[in-house]
Amino acid sequence: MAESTGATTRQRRRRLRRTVHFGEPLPPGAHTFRASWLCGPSVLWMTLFLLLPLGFVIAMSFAQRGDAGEIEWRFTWENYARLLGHGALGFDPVQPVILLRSLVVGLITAVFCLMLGLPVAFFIAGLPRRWKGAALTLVVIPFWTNLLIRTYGWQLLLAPEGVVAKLFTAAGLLRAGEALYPGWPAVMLAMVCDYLPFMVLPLYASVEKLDWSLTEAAADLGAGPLRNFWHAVLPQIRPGIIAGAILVFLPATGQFIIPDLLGGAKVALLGSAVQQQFGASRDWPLGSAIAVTALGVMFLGAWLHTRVTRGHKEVGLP
Amino acid sequence: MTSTLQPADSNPPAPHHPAVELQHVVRRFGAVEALAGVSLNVRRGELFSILGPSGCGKTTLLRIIAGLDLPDSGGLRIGGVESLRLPAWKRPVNTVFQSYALFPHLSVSENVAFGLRMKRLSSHDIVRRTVAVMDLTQITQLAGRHPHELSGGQRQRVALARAIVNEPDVLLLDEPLGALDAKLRKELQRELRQLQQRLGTTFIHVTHDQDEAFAISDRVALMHAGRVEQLGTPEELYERPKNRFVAEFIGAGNFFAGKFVSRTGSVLETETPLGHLRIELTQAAIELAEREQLHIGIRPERISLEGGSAGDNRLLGQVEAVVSNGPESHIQVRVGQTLLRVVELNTGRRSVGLFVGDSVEVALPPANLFLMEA
Amino acid sequence: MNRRLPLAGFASVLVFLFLYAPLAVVIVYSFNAARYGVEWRGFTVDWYVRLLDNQQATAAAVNTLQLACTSTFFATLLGTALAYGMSRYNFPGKALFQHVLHVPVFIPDIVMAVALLLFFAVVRKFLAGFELGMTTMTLAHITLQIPFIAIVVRARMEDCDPQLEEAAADLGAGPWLTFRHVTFPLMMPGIVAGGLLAFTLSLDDFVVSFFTSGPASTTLPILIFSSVKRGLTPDIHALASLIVLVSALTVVTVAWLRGRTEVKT
Repeated sequence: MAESTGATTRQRRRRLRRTVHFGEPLPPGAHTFRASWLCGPSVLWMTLFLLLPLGFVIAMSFAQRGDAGEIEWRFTWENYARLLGHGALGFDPVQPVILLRSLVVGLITAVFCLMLGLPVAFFIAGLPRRWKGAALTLVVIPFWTNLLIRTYGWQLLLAPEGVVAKLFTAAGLLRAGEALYPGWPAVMLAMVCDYLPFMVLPLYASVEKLDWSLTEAAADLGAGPLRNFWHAVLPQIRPGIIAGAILVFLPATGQFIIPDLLGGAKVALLGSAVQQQFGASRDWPLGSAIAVTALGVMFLGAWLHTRVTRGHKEVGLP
Repeated sequence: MTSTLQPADSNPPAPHHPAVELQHVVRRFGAVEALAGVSLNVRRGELFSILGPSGCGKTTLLRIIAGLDLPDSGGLRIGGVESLRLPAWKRPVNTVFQSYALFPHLSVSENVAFGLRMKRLSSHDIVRRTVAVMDLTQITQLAGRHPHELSGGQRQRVALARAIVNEPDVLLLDEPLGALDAKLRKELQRELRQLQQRLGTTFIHVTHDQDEAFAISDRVALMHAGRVEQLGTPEELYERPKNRFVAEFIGAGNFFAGKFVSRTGSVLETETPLGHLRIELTQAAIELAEREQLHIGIRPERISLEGGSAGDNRLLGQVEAVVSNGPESHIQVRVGQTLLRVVELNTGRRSVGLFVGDSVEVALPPANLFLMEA
Repeated sequence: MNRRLPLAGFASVLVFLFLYAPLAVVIVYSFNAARYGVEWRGFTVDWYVRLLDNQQATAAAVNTLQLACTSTFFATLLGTALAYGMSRYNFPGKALFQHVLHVPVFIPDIVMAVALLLFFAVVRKFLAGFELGMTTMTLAHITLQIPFIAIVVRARMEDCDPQLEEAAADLGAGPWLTFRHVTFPLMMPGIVAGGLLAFTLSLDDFVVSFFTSGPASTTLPILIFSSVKRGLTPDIHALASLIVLVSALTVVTVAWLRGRTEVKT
């Protein structure tokens, strides 16, 4: 606009610095205004009922518990110290063990889910197009059904007269009349069954994009099936594996229904510990500290997840 | 049936105004100037093409006219009415989108009737006009189908019908035939032109395809890097390209530099690497001739190897290559240091074929040489 | 591909059996005539009939449905407006809020549950009301559901060509008409899918309900939990089977909706 003087150019620019929005020229403020009445209620809601409560939990984790279970708002690190094993009578392993156990259980669950999920992912990816959707739906149905009921189902299966227990008894692995729960194996079984869908979906998304010509090339070059899988297939589906592992690991550590119903007191996880402190023990500050720890693990995992899946289409549920 | 589709003069906007006027339109996306000050007028009732390579800003220009984008500065008048502040739905303009943008949840007839429903016409009128337009665009038998059940060509027709049923003053077409195969393109080009002439509506048509623009347009604006390089009839663009970009974008050419020697009226004498050349100037090119450095060009098919007539620039050259594709021969002739490309129609007049190494007389008719700005 | 991996098919069948075994066993036992224990004593539909006489169960069912319907209704309204606003307009802090939306999807239920428990306790201390009960549960469930609905609806909107709305404007439709005739119909499958998923989420939720419910607001999952703790009666098998059936049907409906209305180009 060579012929315009500076002032008119600026004027004109101010007048025109609106953007067209689906055919409607909007002045700059209109975007925020419209967003505010569309998104405002939800933003307020989530702030009030999600962020504020989580803030309370964080605050509570630094508070003290009075003798009668009441809360004293005096800042202390004691709750976190107890999580690390600091007790009144020297080292108290209860909380650190729970933390460590949760991480181990989460990890083992992720590994088993990976082993079971891989064949399913490859199988579904190989199905004819119109069957894929159905197969994926079949994978997610259990996820959307009640966890309590599924966990109870395992109680039925593992009960003394249940199918699995009878098989074990017949094989001489179990004395008649004994159940396979409570205990570690039962918890792991239910955990793997519960979180398998979280693994299959991202795995499937990776396998679907697999470039099979690489495996052909590898076979051509004389790689056996194992080496072929290791060098030609695995690197390609690594994002799916990592995403799936994180998606399984995170909620698994916070689980409390499964340990409660199938594990007994010995298999308490982070989730169980939170419930214990907010419930029977009535030690809300310690419970909050555990919850904050679980939150921390979650944020770390979520951050990793976004890093790994960046550039991939988000794998939604279902 | 055309009673409902009268030429635009049934509802004439003030007739002394151009259909669309753009004044110094600038549009920036961040640091990139998609439009660097475009001014042009589109006349009422013409088929106007905006031609250019991808990324030259032609689609942005169309979106600004449609009201789907705003320039950073500049002016726009549609039918003489200042229109920049008008929202898209109040402009007497309709668009045929490149992706067609047919509503997937509506059937073909519902798609076509959409604009009329939005204007709250009586259902009688909606049906009448929808039926008429669907008949005109030959999609009547598709009325009940949904967009995903249509072929590319059928979608194109539906998109066209959906736009023209509103009887806009200006119809904008964004690469309307871009997604179709070559044969269908040719067929639809012809239909588009016939339709435009029948309706008398102003069409502004954006394309990157020179053949398409030339086949159907009254006038063409050739755009490059956010600017209009040249605006004119297809013949003008071809015969008198303003600069090297235009000349090369539209067809092939031979280009060389020249030095001014003298000018008598419209006859220019120059000194070039080919030798002394005489150029017959058009009125517009006279001012170009006054420059020290001249940019001269000639189209390959305007060079004659058959002697030519008196007054032609005659040069001696040697044939370096001959490639025939049937209807025409592409011949390379070396004149001095310069290689000239010559295209000759195989009319059968030449009794003895040309062979590599032959000496030929090359004739460059003075009226066929043109001057460019750069 | 499966020709190359013949074992994958066989292994998958086993994995699917494993996935469905706990659900199947509950359903099978709901038809077992035995009153106690897990011994098979013959087929009966008696327990389904008796369920109607179980007042605890019917009361819990009414609570559950009321809770699920109310919370899904509000969450769908809020979540849909949110998804539309977020995909169409910009506002400061939008990117941050997008992360906030993913928090309820990722965090363990139990953390969410105790956070709300704590929140309601604090609010109760300073303001009247917020006694644990249906109201607090509804508030909690809406909080759980909003992100799910917003994410599903938004995904649907991202799948649609934004040029469709431009086309509507070009054809003379103002913002409201564009929304009514183009945007909303295109969003609809997403809204239905998101709403159905949110409904199952509420229907199945135990952890958050457990911590935010009061004595008079037992829901089906809470009833099942206490029954499991006490030892289950066969009519609860029947109840559990029905819940599983409803959830499964919902998921199948959502999948079908998605397959049917996939944006076709």
